[in-house]
Formats: sequence, structure tokens, C-alpha cells
Amino acid sequence: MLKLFIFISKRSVQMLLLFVIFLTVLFFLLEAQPGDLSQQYIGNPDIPPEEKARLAARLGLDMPLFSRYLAYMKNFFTGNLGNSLSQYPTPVTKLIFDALPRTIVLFLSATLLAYYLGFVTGKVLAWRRGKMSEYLLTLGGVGLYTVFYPWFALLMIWTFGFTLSNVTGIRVFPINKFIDVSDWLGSPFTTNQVFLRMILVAVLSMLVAAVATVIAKQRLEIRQAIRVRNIAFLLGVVFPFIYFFFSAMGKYALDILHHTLLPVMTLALVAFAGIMLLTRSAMLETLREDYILTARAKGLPEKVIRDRHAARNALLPVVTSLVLALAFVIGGGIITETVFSWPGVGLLLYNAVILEDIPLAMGGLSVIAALALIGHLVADILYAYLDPRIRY
Amino acid sequence: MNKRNRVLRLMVIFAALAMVVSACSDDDTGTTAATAATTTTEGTEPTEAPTTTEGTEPTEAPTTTAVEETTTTEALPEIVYVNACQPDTPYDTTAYAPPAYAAAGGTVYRTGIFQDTTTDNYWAYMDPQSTVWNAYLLGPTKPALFGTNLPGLDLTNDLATSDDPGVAAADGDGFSVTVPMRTDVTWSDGTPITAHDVVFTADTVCQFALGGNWVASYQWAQTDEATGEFSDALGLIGVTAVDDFTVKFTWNKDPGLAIWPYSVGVAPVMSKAAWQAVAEDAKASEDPAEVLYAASGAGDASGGPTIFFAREAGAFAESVGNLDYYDNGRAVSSGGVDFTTGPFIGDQTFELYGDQSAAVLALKAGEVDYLYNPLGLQRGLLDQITGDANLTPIVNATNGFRYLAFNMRRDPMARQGFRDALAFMIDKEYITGSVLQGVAFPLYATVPEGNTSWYNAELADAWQAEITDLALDTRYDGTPFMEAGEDEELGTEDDVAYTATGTEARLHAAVSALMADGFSWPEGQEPGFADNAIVPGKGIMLDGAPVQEITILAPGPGYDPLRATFSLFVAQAAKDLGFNATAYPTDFNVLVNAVFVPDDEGNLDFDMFMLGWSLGNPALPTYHESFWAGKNDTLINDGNNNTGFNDPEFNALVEEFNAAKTFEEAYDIMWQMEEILFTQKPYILLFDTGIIEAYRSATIQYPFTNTLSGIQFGNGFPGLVAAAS
Repeated sequence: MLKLFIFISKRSVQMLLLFVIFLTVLFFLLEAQPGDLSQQYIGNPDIPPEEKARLAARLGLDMPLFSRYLAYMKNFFTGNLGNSLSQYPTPVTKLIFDALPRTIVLFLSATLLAYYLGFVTGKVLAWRRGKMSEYLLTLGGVGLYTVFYPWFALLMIWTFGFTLSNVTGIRVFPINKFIDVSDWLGSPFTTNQVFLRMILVAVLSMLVAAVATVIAKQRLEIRQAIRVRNIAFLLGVVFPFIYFFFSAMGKYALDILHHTLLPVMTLALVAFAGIMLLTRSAMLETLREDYILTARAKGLPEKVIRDRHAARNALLPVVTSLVLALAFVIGGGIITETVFSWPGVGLLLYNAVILEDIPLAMGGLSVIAALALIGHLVADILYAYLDPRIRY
Repeated sequence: MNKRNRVLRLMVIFAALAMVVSACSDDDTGTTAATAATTTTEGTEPTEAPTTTEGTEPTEAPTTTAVEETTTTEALPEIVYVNACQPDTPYDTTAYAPPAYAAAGGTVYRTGIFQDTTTDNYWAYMDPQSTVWNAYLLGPTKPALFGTNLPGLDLTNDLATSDDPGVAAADGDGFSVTVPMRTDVTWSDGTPITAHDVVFTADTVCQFALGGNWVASYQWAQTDEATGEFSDALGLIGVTAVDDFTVKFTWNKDPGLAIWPYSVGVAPVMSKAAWQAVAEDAKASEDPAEVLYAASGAGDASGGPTIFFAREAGAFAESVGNLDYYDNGRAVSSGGVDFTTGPFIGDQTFELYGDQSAAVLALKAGEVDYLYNPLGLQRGLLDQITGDANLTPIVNATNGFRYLAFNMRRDPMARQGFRDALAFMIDKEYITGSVLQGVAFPLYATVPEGNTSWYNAELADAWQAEITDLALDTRYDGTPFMEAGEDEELGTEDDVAYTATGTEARLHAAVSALMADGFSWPEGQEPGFADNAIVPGKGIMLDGAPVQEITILAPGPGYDPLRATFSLFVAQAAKDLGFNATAYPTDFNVLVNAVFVPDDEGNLDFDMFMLGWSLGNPALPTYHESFWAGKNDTLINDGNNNTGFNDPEFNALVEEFNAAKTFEEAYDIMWQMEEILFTQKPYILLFDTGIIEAYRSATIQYPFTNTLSGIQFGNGFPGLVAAAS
């Protein structure tokens, strides 16, 4: 345990140093772009030329580059991310936190679904090696994995959002956006209030389920513990629906959920194949291990060998990949957010970079970087938990 | 020590150094960058107030790259000018309590936007957040003394009693105009719109030194901060309320049309009651403008057909119909169209779409009635719209142009012959018609044809004919054009003279222009025309010396495929004449930076470039001064004239145009300026495209759709749109 603590301490110091270097490189990279926001008036012949200089002064862009760097670093480490230049004087933190909830709901759901589907199909694939189902799934998976995503997303919208509605007369899936605006006119809640409540209720439900599972594992025999785990997680999934059924926010949460289906489905379809192939190759490695042969020799049922002996050991690279993917969830995705009209952190940062809104771009990217670094640390710690052979 | 440890130590040292330096940095500097405040670096003068320069020294360079070299004390102007504001009077600080607005019921006008609105604060929208998307939402909520009717672009009265703005007359030390205001005009909260609102708005712009579009609207005179003496620039020296419904404007010099009425006369007026408490609080702060811009605009009083109602970042925005709008039911006749102003809607929503294809699907599915877009819809989507009986596509001319510009500070671009030759050689009709498949149309005057008030078809057509209908009897060397006899039986085997037209004539005219300006080719390397094709020249020389490679910067195909394609043909035209010319389609920001930002030596390092302009207020085109007046040379005052064009006759006409008091006078002067531009060619006008829009005619209707720059230019006509009959 002490060794693990020392390891975490060392890694934390390394991460801090790496973070400072990251911020420095990022700042100068963004600054190296040609032009700046004060040029926004170039296109307007009605505005006097002096206004460019005055805007630059207002935004602090008239200061020497190094002074700006020093000021930024100092403010960053004192918790001040500054004001957005493109949406002056709105604070950077407000813009990020406005976009964050909808990004988390969409990309977290899609990531978890993709990993679940990918892991389940991956282990089945490895188990059915050489059969037709393996070829079909692999072919389909690779096809989806390599599909041109913007085209695929538009195809999904056209097929399920537009054509299906036209054919059936029922709006099965919305075309895009995360709400139906007409349902929200006069709403007592903002979309972010509903998003945050959805996240909170889902996280709390899952936490309770996880705690129940851990307690059951410690105090009950294995069969009962598994039964408790299954029931707890089932309730963890069902409880948010029950909560919102009785909540005044229910109608609005349902609208958001309805709009989440198509983009989540699209994202998961594209992303799951990568996980499936990763799991498959890890499983194939594991299946060659001696302990699998031993398990078979002991006469254990195939399902037990697959799920409890092979799959669990094949989980290591998948979990590593998942932890890192979760760290990048808040970064969103520019293409998904654009095609599905789901403006989140990805588009916010993209526009910030394009518009050379340095404080906003720095603020957003540094939060993502910090989470990525933490993700790496968590993955290292999880290694020790998942694989008893690994010790620090 | 192993390698890993050494790397680790290096990292530690680097990071520690960065943090130490960061921690030791100056406090003021830190605050400024993080909060984007307006203080300057150590040892420099404050630059928050508007500053101008004497003579021709560059003001502050506007870019990141140049800032390092120019933010020292010696780069600042010696004289610091500040707004010549009126004496400050404290405002009532009682908090404004707006009425509870609500959607009026009836038709909901559902519109799509492609970028989010970023503010609900009209003050901020006019300066740091002056995006077109904010304009669509907030633009229709503020009144002005005068407005511009669409589609005719004619001046009309809004708050003023008459549509005749009058002219300024000498008044003491300045020139003034007095405007009687209507007494039947009210804000959406029911209070009358008075002269005090106009004065409040003008005073706030002055005292808070607001920038951007506020400066274009309320241009105050400037005084030397040290001596109090006025600068040479024309500006307001007083805006006073003669009584509740009469406002008086006074300038330090006699204003022309561009200032009165087309600047302050059409400037937005803010509600004093709604904003005075915020303004009073702001005055006490370190940065009043920032406090004002940061305030919420929720509940702001409207003097237009819609009232801003709600906005949720990233989701949607909503305006409600101002059914008590004072001009509701007003009969208007403009541009040959008679209609009545509304609003006829109870509610307007602005729904955010990220992608045009998906947005058009939403339009087809009936989720929205109209899609706002300043650039219009992609042409590829037109087919989808055309085939839908519920939708109506609209194509309108735009208020802009795309052009090829020359750096007239360096050869060969400085040579008139070179620019003339290129104008002959660029076959705009062929490129727009055949290569670009008719999606663009060629231009010969900067005033768009769609601006029916200001366009002079006779002159524009004549200039076009000078190029396209060119016919020559003699070659560039003075010999007649000859071709082989056609009928051997008649004994006409000898060469016969003919009149060259088309490409052949243009090539010879181009070569003639070049030769007349000192260009030459090695013996036998001149350009020629044989077998119906150009034989390119080689090794062109200027005054006997070889001409170096010339470059043409243009936006890349991802940003604008039309200009990217056009640039290749321009390069080919120059190559045909023997120049070593290369087109460089490049990133838009890189291009803008290259042509508008001086390099370390203070030069603009480009040969030619292709960009486009949007032309501001079409009711009074004032862009000639901005783009081509010598005083607006980018190297002098960071202005938009980056070609270095500086023609005394043109400069004098600019001043005459600014002083003109009537439309007729201004029109004549403007076309004299156009003639100089056509002759001297600091720009070669290339082309423009129409703007494509679509609306759901099954659910809504507009009184007219044929209007310059489309429906989006009228902010989507929220005061005119009605349910389809």
C-alpha cells in the first residue's frame, strides 16, 4: 500500500510538471496562429480603423506576448480562467460549464454503450472464432469503424429522423437538436437544470448500486452477491425513470432523452467496433493461456470459462481504453455536435480556436488535459486492482 | 544517472522556472490578460479612450505578431485624444422593473440559425459581440430617428416626425440640426420614447468610450486630453433635449449625408429608464464599458416589432411580438411594393442548427419556417428545396463583391500597364459562366446591381463593353491583323486584314498596355495568338530587368472554392503574358494577416490577393473612403486601404462625398470615384454570387422577397412576416 502511495505521489508530481509544459506549449501554439480577434472589424467599412487598436487594447491583445503568457499562467494557477474574448466579457468558466452538461450526457452515454456493446460482442467473437458469425460481425464492425462519419451521421438522420417519420407519420427520432424548442417555450426550467438533474440522479443511482454490490460481495456468498448486484444495477437503471416520472422536470427530461437516442445510437455504432476488435484480440490471447486449458480440463461450463476466466482477464486493455476515453468525454466531438446540432464543449473549443479566443481555448483544453492526466493515473491504479500480478 | 532521470530533472527545472517567473510577474499585467481589461503595460499611456495620431505614423499594430515590437512607449502617439463629452449628470438609480412580457399567442415564427447568439445585451451586441446572429435576435428591438425601408432602401422616419432629416446649419461654434420627434411612440413598457432617451444613449457612448458600431453611430468629436483642443476630425459636440420630443445634434464641422442622417440619424436609441441604473453603477467602476456589457439584457424595453424574451446559450432564443408597437399597421410603399407593418406574429424562436443539410431536412419536415444565414444556403441544397411544394427558394443579389487587389507599392503591380493588362486577360465571363457553371456573375463596378438606388447600369455596362466587346484592327506592334485569303478560286490567296475580337483582341490590348509601361520580352518570346489559342510569352522584363516571381494569395478551396478556382485562372492569365505567376490558395486567417498586417519592417508583404467585401449600409455606400482613400492606408492608420492606392483626385472626391448634402450630389461624386477605380484599378472586380434562401411558404408569407442581400438582411422581417393565407 505504501508503495502504491509513493507511486501515486511520484506520478502526481510528474503530471503537474507535464501539465505546466502542456499549458506553455498550448499557449504559444494558439498564439502562433496568424491574426487575432481585433481583426473582426476589418470586414466592416463603417467602423473607423482606430477601433481595431482600441478593441485590441480592451482585450489585452496589445500587450507583449511574454507578458500575456506570464499573466495567463499566474491567473490559471490562481483559479482565474479570465473572460472570453469572442463573447466578451463572459467568463470562460461560465461558457464551459454551460456547454458541459449536454456534452456529458451525450458522450458519456454513447461511450458507455459503445464499450458495453464492444466488450460483449468482442468476447463472443473470440469464442466463436472461425464461424460465420465472427466473419459477419468483424466485417460489419470494421465497416462501421472505418465509415466516413459525417456522411454516416447524416444518413442516420435522413433514414431514422426524416424518412421514418414521413413513412410512419410518427416522429420516432427527432431530426436533430437536443430539445424540441416549442415544448420548452415558457418552461420553468432551463435545459441545463434538467441536464444536471439527469446527471445527478443517474450518478447517484449507480453509486448506490455500486455500494450495494460491494457490501453484498463482502457479506454474502457469491451466488447471492451476484443476485444482489444484478438487482441493484437494474434498479440503478430504472430508478432515474421512476424519479422523473414523478418530477415536474419529467416532461423535459423525456424530451432530452428522446433527442439523445439517435446521436447516441450513431456514436455507439461507430465506436463499438473498435472496442469489439480490441476485446477480441485480448480474448484470443487469453484463450491460449494454460489456465483456460486447466479450466476446460476441470470440466467447467463453457460460459463460465468464457465470462469468468477468459473475459475478465481480457478486460485489462479494455478498461484502460475506457478510462482514457472517459477522460476525453468532456471534449465532446466537433462532427457529432455539428451534424446533430448539439452544441457542446467540442464546438465551443473549435470556435474558440478558430476565432483565436485564447482564454476560452486554453481554459477548455486545459480542463481536458487535466482530466486526461488524471485518467492515466486512474488507469495505472486500476491495473493493480484488475491484475493481481501487477504491483507498484 | 540514467537517461530517464535526466529528462525528469530537465522537466522539473523547466516547470519550476516557468512557475517562478509566472509568480513573479507584475500584478497589473496579470489582471489585464486574464480579465481582458483595458489597462496597458508598464510605462505606457492608457489607451482606453479613442486615440488618433498626427501625421502619418502608424498607430498600434493590431496583431499578435506585431504587438511585441510596437507596444513600447515610443510607439504611442504623442497626443492622446478623448471623447469630447457633455457634462456628466447623475442618473436615477432606481432599479428598472420591466413588465412581465409573454408570447402574444397566434403565429409562431420558427427560425433556424447556424451559430449561437452570444448575448442579450444590446450594448454588447453593438461592440465586442457584433455578430450577425446577435443582430438577427436583437436588431429589431431598437428604434432610431430614421430608418431605411426595404426593398427600396429609401430613408423613412421612425421616431422623427418627418422623413426629411433636414441639413445642419451654422450654430455658434458648430453646426446643428434640430429634430422634432413623434409624440405617439412608446417603448414596449408603455412609456414614451423621448429626446432624453436619445441624449442618454449618445452620452453613454461618449462617457463610457464605447467602441465598434457605437462609434460608427455616435461619432463624438475628440479633444486633446492635455490641452482640451479639438482634433481635426468631424464629430458631435452636443446632443441635447430641447424639450421632451425635440432633440438637437451639434457637430464641430458641417456634416454631410454620411454623418447626418446616415450615422447618428439611423443610430439605435436605448431606453434611459431601462438602463440608467446600470449606467450609474458602471460609472463608479474601474471599467464602465465592461460593466455595461456584462449586464443582463433580459426585460430590456423594445421600440421595435419584437421584444427580446429569452435566450439559453446553446439551445434557443425567443422574441415575442410587440403588439403595442407604435408603427403596427403603418402603410409603407418602398421599391414599388406596398405593404403594412406588423408584427403579425406572437412569438419568434431562434433554433440552433449545426449543419445546413440537417437544417434543410428540418425545414422540409416543418420544424422551422425560415433559415437565417448571412452567406445563404449552399447551392447544392437548392434542388432539395425546389422540389418541395411547401418550400419557396429565393435568390437575391448581395451587397458585396469579390476582387483581385494589387500591392501598388511594388513593381510590377505599381505599373498601370500591368493592371490594365491583367484586366484584359482575365476572362470573367468565361470563368463564371463555363468554369463556375453560372453560380457567380462578373462585376465591373463596386456598387452591386441589386442596390437599385445607387447602381448606374449605363456606366457599368459601358465598362464591361470596353473589355468584352473589344475589337482591334492592329496588333500590339502596330501592324494590321491579317489572315490567309479564304477563296483560292477568286484569287484571294493573299492575306486579308480583319478585326480581332475576343481573346485575341484582349491579348493584344494587354501586350500593348504592358509595352507602353516599360515591359518587354526577349526577341521572339512575346506572347502571341495562333490556332485560336494563346501562345504564352516568356521572360518578361520591366525596364530591361527580369521580373521576379509574383504571387496571388486567395482563400483555399475549403473556405471559398470559387475564389480558389478563380485564382488559378488569374495566375494563368499572368503566365500567358510571360510573368512567373503562382496562385496560392491559403488559409483565410493567414491570408488576412498577410495582406492587412505589416511585417517586422513595416511593409505589407504581398503581391496580389483575392478577397471579398460586404459593403455596410447600402442606403449610403461610404466604403470608397474606407477601401481606397489615401488617408486610410493600412500602413498609415491601420485602415482598410492595403493596396497603397493614393490618388489625389480620388481623395478629394472622398472629401466631397463626405460633405455632400443631397443624394443626387453624392451619387454623381460616387460614380466619379467609380470611374477612377475602373481606370486606375487598385482592384480588379471579379464576381459575386447571389444569396440563396428558402422559407416554408406553406406556413408563412412575406410581403416581398426580392430584396438586396435577401430576407436575412432585413433580420428575417419579424415585423412583416405573417401566417400563410
